[in-house]
Amino acid sequence: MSLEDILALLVSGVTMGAVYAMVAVSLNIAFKPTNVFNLAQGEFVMLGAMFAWGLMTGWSLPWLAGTALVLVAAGALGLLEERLAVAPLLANARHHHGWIISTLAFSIVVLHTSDRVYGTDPQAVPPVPGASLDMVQIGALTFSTQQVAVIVLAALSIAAVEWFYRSTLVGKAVLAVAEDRDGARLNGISPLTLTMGSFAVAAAYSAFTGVIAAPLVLASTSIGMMLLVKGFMALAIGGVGNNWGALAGGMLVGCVESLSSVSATPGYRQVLLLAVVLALLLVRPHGLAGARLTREV
Amino acid sequence: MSRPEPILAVDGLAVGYGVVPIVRDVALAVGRGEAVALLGANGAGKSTLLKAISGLLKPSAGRIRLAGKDIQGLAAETLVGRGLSHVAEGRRIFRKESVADNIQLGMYRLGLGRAEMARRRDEAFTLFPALREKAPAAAGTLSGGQQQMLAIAQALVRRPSVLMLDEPSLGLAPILVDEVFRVLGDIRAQGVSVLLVEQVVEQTLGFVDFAYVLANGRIAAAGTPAELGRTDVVRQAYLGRAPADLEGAA
Repeated sequence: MSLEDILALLVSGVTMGAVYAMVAVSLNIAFKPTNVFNLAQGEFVMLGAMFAWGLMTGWSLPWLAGTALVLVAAGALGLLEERLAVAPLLANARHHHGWIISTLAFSIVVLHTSDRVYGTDPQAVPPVPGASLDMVQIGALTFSTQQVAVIVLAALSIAAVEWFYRSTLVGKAVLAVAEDRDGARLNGISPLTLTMGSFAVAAAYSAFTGVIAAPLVLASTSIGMMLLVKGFMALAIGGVGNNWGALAGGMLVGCVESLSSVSATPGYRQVLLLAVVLALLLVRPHGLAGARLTREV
Repeated sequence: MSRPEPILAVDGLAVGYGVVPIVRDVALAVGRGEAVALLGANGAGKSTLLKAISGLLKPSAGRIRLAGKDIQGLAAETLVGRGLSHVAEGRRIFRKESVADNIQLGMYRLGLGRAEMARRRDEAFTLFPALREKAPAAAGTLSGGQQQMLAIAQALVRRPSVLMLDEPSLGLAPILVDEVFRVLGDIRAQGVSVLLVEQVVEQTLGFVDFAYVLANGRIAAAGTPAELGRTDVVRQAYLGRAPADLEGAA
């Protein structure tokens, strides 16, 4: 295998890693104020891709207008999911872990409804404005500007999410709710409002991931579960709650997956990937950048 | 002795966890500018009562009025905006956030501009100079006394009309307990009504205008510190006597 081939695989791995990182970040966004992993997060990526195809190809909307509508629609569905499938369970201490089933059920409903509406055939979605799927060669490096756009947008969006948590009062309030829900309430912070907002933002962020990833992976109703699993891998490697860790974890998952295609068949590729993730977690159970979990006694 | 017009009044309150009532038929009042103590042994229901008043727990019966308006059943975060602040037991600050951010989060509900927030934060630092030096540090790295001061500062920046404190001296060295009472004196001087749950009985009775004794979830006795001092009721409450016996004693 030539250097050019290896570099091309690495570019592909880093690009898909950026997508997995964004899925992991969306899981973090919904998790922070609730301690709930939204198992429908992968389907919101799928919805983003399918909505983008419908709006930009079917209705011929410009990319920016189409994307804005996708984010609003996905945000509204995220809010609906929180109201229907999460809030009633969190309000009742006896059903505290019921979200595992309820968010999974919501994802199944979304998946089957999408299958009926869009069909199961993969569809092409236009690239980000100014980017293209045409390959460019610089020295030994071959890439498309859409791949560069995905990597840059992933890094910029994660930086924006981190800035929100560290530099805005609402972001700090979300972290306060994550740390002590009742303590936050006694300071006038409404966990309910922040939870609804976080679910809506996480869904919109996932949908944005779908919009920018779809030109590379094609929009299809079957991509949600695969992306959710890879997003969870990135999350586990990076450490739950750590968005930069998620980026590193996503890159690692993407690169291992891509490079393993050299010698392994598709089935064994997933086995190899899982083996690498398990080995990493055996050495670092809290992830590459995750904080050690402690309990005060 | 006549008491000031009540700013906080509780009547016939019952509250508990699940179906088990911890506090039953409780009536108490805090007058404007008054400092009132709620005394009683561990498990008497003091913290549960404060949680019901501040909206963390929903009462099963009774009425709570703040500045003449019914507030029972309102959410804790709503009551903060109405001038009721509760410094809960165990220094419930946000340990991973900085001291400055903790104080800022205390003003979350108020919708203040940056300049006003900075002004109030500076006021808090004037009252608690040790916090100014530690402003960028994570709150979890503060000493116990400093964490307690931070919890009080978080409530004070909201300029509450009623401040409820649940055992602010718990786990502090005697010199820091004195410091807590010095700060409470300053708060009172600003006209804030205080409802104080404490285990440091002598110091508390020396500070407040009026006190209630809670035993087994009921008000067993009430009076000025001088009135309570003439009986054995407080000592008996801490030794776990039944409310009926205590009523006779008071």
